[in-house]
Amino acid sequence: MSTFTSTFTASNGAQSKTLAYTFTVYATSPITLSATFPTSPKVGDAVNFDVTATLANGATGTLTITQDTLPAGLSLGATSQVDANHYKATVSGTLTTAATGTTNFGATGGSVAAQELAWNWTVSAAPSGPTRVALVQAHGSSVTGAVGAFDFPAVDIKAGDLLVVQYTCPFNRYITTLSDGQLNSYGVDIQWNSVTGTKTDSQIWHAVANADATSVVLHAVLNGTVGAFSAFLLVYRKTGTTWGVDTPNVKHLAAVYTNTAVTTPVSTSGPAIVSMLIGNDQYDNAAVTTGTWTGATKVADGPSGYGGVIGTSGEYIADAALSGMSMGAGFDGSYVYKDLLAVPFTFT
Amino acid sequence: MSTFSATNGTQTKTLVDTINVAAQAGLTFSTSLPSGTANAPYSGSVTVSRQPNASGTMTISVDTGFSLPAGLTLGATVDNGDNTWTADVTGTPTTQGNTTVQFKATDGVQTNTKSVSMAIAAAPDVSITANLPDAVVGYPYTGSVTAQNINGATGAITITVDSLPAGLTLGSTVDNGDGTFTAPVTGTPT
Repeated sequence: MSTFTSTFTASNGAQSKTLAYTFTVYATSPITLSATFPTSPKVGDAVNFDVTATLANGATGTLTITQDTLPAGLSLGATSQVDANHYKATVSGTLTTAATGTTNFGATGGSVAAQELAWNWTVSAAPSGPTRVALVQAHGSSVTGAVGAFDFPAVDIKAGDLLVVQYTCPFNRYITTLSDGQLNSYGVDIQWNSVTGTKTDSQIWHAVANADATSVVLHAVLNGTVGAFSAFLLVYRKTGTTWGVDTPNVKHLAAVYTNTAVTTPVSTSGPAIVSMLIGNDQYDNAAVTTGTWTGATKVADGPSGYGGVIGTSGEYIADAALSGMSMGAGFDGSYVYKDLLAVPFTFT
Repeated sequence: MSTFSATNGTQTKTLVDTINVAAQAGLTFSTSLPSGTANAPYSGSVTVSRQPNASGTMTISVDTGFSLPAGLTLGATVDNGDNTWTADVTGTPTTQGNTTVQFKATDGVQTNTKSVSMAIAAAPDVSITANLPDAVVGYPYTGSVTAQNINGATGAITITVDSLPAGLTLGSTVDNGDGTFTAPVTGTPT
């Protein structure tokens, strides 16, 4: 820090007055601004974060945090004092417009100007597809001769919601069917295979919740001598009261029992539900590894354990377009089972 | 004493009576003490008149316990030759404000006093204020200096500076239209 004294003179020709002023020049600003900006903001996102101004090194003042232009839909609230050296103001609102820009925050009222804090933001358009509002999963197995039944956690739904069920099981330990009543509605009228539900594949189901729908519990029955399954239920919701057209496009990529690579990639142009299962049967503790999927987010590992139960699997979901996915070879054992399922949905 | 007569040509009547004439007030003040302005030359006067048949040397003074506004003095009493005497108040007032001054006139026989309020206005001037936060090296700086005419001062104001921290400059003075003039201080300190 250094000082510099200047003498200002104001004169109207007849009278004059001088003012000596001593500047304090800091090497770095003793008033700093900080904030944690939202990542990947999208139209429709609710935004709420604080901008904090900190006084240090003798800087003083009652600060007011300012900004120039915020993304549409956001506003900066009043500045409040947190403690002797900190002030904060909250940026909040719901993003309304896709755009790119920079917001410069500053702080006035201090003995020195605060260094500006730049927020370089890009507000993306709202997802074209619906919003996933629920995802529940369940795993189960049955021993020889037994029948396993599993209730999924209850899920709140609304009229018009799209419900999708996908499951996988190794070898011939399978869920026989999911017929009427197996997707029970508790107080609501949702039935698979009803006029609002469609069985799209032996391992993929979807339905649209009826007008009086409030919640649903998926009830899965495992009917095999020895079997295991891993399944999940997803609920999608979009703005509006009804779906326009939903067109599941099922791609059941592979179900092989041998150590063969599944290299066929799959790509989707919209929201997709994908799953992968790798397992070995009860007689062969084969070493298994998962493949690599691009664009899909792993939700959870599937069950593993004693023979007959899925050895190692992963359940994946991709809400955006997939650029491709594949499973490599490398499984040890003659009874390794692997399955790739992709369910791209087109929402309009 | 006066004798008054009334006649109709045949009869006459007289009246003898006395008319008392009251004496004129002894000393009478008249002042010419306009309002003054601090730091500006001032000129005023105090005049005393007396009846013609009076005698004695007239002296005008500031009465005990009173004083003229700072910077002013009362000059010598001058005989105007017409039964009036004048003393000038001159000088340059140094302080604004209202002052009550009591003048005293005496010829050794008669004495009179006169209280006068003298007003001294503030001098026309220029005020100057700064809105200059501390600066940070490498960070754009914005400050300003503002001035205005006060106490009746007039004319466009120009703001100048001898020197500024490196990287800062003083911009042109702008008439804000409200009686104030502002010059910005901007730049990036180096």
